[in-house]
Order: sequence, then structure tokens, then C-alpha cells
Amino acid sequence: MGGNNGMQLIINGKRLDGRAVDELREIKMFAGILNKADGSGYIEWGRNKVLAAVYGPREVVPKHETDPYRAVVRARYLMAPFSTLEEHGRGGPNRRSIEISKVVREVFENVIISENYPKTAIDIFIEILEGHGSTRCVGINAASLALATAGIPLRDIPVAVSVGKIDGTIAVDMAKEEDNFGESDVAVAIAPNSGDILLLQMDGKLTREEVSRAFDLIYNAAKEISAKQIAALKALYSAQKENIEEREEENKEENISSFSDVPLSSEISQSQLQPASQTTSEDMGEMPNEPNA
Amino acid sequence: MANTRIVVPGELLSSKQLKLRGTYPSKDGTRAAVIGIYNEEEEKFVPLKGSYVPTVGDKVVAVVTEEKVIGYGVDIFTPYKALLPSRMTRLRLSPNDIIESEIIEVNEVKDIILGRPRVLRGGRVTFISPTKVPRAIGKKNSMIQLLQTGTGCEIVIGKNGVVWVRGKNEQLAIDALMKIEREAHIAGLTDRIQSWLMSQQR
Repeated sequence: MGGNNGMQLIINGKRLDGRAVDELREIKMFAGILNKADGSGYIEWGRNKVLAAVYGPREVVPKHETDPYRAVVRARYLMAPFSTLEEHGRGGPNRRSIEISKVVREVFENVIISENYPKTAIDIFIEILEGHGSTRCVGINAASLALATAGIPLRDIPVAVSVGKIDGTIAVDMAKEEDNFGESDVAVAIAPNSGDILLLQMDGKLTREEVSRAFDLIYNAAKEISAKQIAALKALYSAQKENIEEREEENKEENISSFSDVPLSSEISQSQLQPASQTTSEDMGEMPNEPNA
Repeated sequence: MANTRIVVPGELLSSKQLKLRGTYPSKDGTRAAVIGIYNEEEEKFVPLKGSYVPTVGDKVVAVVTEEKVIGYGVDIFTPYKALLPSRMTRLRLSPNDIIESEIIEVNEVKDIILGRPRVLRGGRVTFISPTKVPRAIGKKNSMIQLLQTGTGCEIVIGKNGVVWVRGKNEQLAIDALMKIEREAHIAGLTDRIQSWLMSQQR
């Protein structure tokens, strides 16, 4: 919150990156991309690149943290040393990331049905590979995908998005410059089905009217993000299904009954990572499907 | 596969209060808690992901980890440790033995007591997702019989997703199990596996 500092953030009704005030950045979501993790999610959100992994339910180490009634949820949010232009020291948690880890943990403690797994731990790791504003929100969205792919029982898939005040106007999804030079920045996580607020952190000042305007924007944006999350999760299965159906048809034509070249789920998700270079994937003819179409 | 759909956590399944694994009751009915396939007509929910919850009566494949005064400590590949008391068996076991055993007792804090062990000597162990175990066994054991006759292997599938394979073509059996795990949610699985096994044996 550096105040405006003479930096103009809205020019002719458009923001610095050409968005309208109620517009999100470009979002790509992928689920289940790590083999060794129980669940994983990867999001490219504008210039943010965030990877999340979930392990568990597993044995609690150290043992004294065990809860005999429910699973303990542990979260770690960490920015990679190379994630932004600013120094991030030697990696590892610092004051800021310890606080964000705590609020992220509390978001997920409220949606995980932890009573199903007493005496266990569920570990959530959020790695910010590249940060460009609202990283905690993107991290929560990625961790939601990871938890859902891990098969951990959830009441809802949490959705997070930020709003803020730039040049006196309320705008959704703050980029880095808007966060640094705007007047206010609010990070919100909600449970889309119930509408419950799971996270609410505000920097700067907003009036009552501005807050209600901000929440209108948040609930609209949350619908859009939630739809993308669900599409990414369903793509995990529909990609495989279409692939096999296609191959079955091919095999019928060629009268061969072998399916040995059906790719592994890991290979599918690897090839799903290619929509950034769509021309190459089309050339190869190996695109399973577009998860965020 | 009409009337089935893939559902994600939090999705409303029915306005009725249903008691199904992998779902939870909400104010407006029943919602899914994990990714799964829901059959609207039959009101059946099949989770596609999830870890194993120890239940009394389940047969599991496990590894003996330690010898205790009262019995054997056994790893059943869950977050919880299991105990095979000496009174349950006359077998002399040693660490790293692979056994097939039945869960006799699970209490509120998930202390697990095993019984009726059978030592599985030799062979190989592989892991499949516990949610795919019913598909790997099949209706009236159809799939596991197909695998055993198709590969000439002895196969024991534990409810915890641990599979023990012994025979002359162990790798083929493991490949078939991996294929089942990948394609378990798609209809016509047994036929597909049968034709695949035939093509592999040529």
C-alpha cells in the first residue's frame, strides 16, 4: 500500500494490463500433475505460476501433534527465491509466509471433513514459482485442486480471489502494480456452494459501500473460477475416457485388439500442460482435450 | 452408462438424505465429498479417489514390521498401525514377511487388530488405488479370475489396495492391474482387459 504515488492505474476505463475492473486475468488450471504426491494442482494465473501438492492422510510426525478426534491439517506457503524481482533471501519460511501458511491452513480446516481420519495429518504445500500479485489467492485455488485430486473429503472446493481499490474504483483480481500502488487490497476465500467466507484479509481502507461492491465482484468472479476448477478436475477423467474411446474406434477400423499404447495418467497431464504452445500440440495430434475450454 | 455423471466435492447429488460412502449430508440434501461417479437412477455413488479406511471383516495384504511380546506389528499401508496378536495365530513370523490377514477389530481411535493370517511367500507386491479394488476383483470375482487364468499367476488383492502376485508372468499381471486402475471408471472394463490379455499373449 504505497499510496498512489502519482502512478495512474486506470487509463480510459482500462487497467494497466488492459482489463476491465470486473475482469480476471487469464487462468489455466491443471489437476493431478505430480506422480508421487497424493494430489496436486498447478495454476497459471496471469503471470503467477503456482504449484500445490497434498500428502495424506498420513501418520503425524511429530507424534505429540496428533489429534485423536480428527486429522490435523498443516499448510506451507512458500515463495521460491526466484519468484519475484525482490530478494527472497535463502528461501525457507519468513514472517510473511508463516502468516500466510496460517491463514491458508484455517481456510482448509473449515472445508476438510477431518473427522473421517482421526490421528492423521494432511499436509498441503503451496509453492509460488512466479509471483505477480494475489499469490495467496492463487495458492488457495491450486491447493483446492490438489486436495480434490487427493480424494480428501471436502465439504466444498474453496475459491479465493482478491479485490482492491485502485484510482478510487473497486476492481477485482489485483495484479502486482495495483497491489503495490493501489489504495486497498482485500484477499477473500469463499466456499462457493454455501457462500461462507473462509478468508478475509484487508490492507488499506474501504467504506461500507465499497466493501459491498467488492463482495458483489468477488461472488461473480468466484463463480467463474469455480467453474474452471471443476473443469480441470473433470478433465482428469474425461481426457482418459475420450482417449480410450478414440483408440477403440481406431482399433475397430484396423481390427487390432491392443490398447497397450494408452498413455498413463501422468503422460496425459504432461501433454495437457501444452496448451500454451497449441500449434505444436496440434501438429503432434496428441492433444487429449482442453481442460479450460 | 446412462444417468451417470462425474461429480466433484460439494456437488449436490440428491435432495434426499442418502447414506453413501464418500458423501456428506447437507441442509439441502446429500452432497459429494470426493470426486466420484454418481448414478442418479440407482442413487449409487462410486468414489474415484480416496484412501483406505480400515473396516472390520476386510482382507488386507500387509507386511510384518516388528516382533513384539504380545504379537506382531504389521504395516497395512494406512496411517494407522495394526497388531497381529500371538493368540490369533500359531505361525512364526519374522519382519518383512508378507501376509494376507483379516481385520478383526477397529476401535474409535483406529487401533487395528488382525487375525487369520496366511503367509504369502515369494512373488511380487504392487499397489493400486483402494477405490479401484472392487473393479480389480470384479462382479463375482470375474476380473480376478480372468487375470489369474490369463496370466497364470496367483493373485491376492487386499482391500487396502496392496496386491500380491506370484507366477510365471508376474509383469503381465501387474501391467493388467495398472491398466485396470487407469480405466476403471470406463464401462466395458472386463471385455477390454480380456482382449488386451489375449493380444499380449500372442
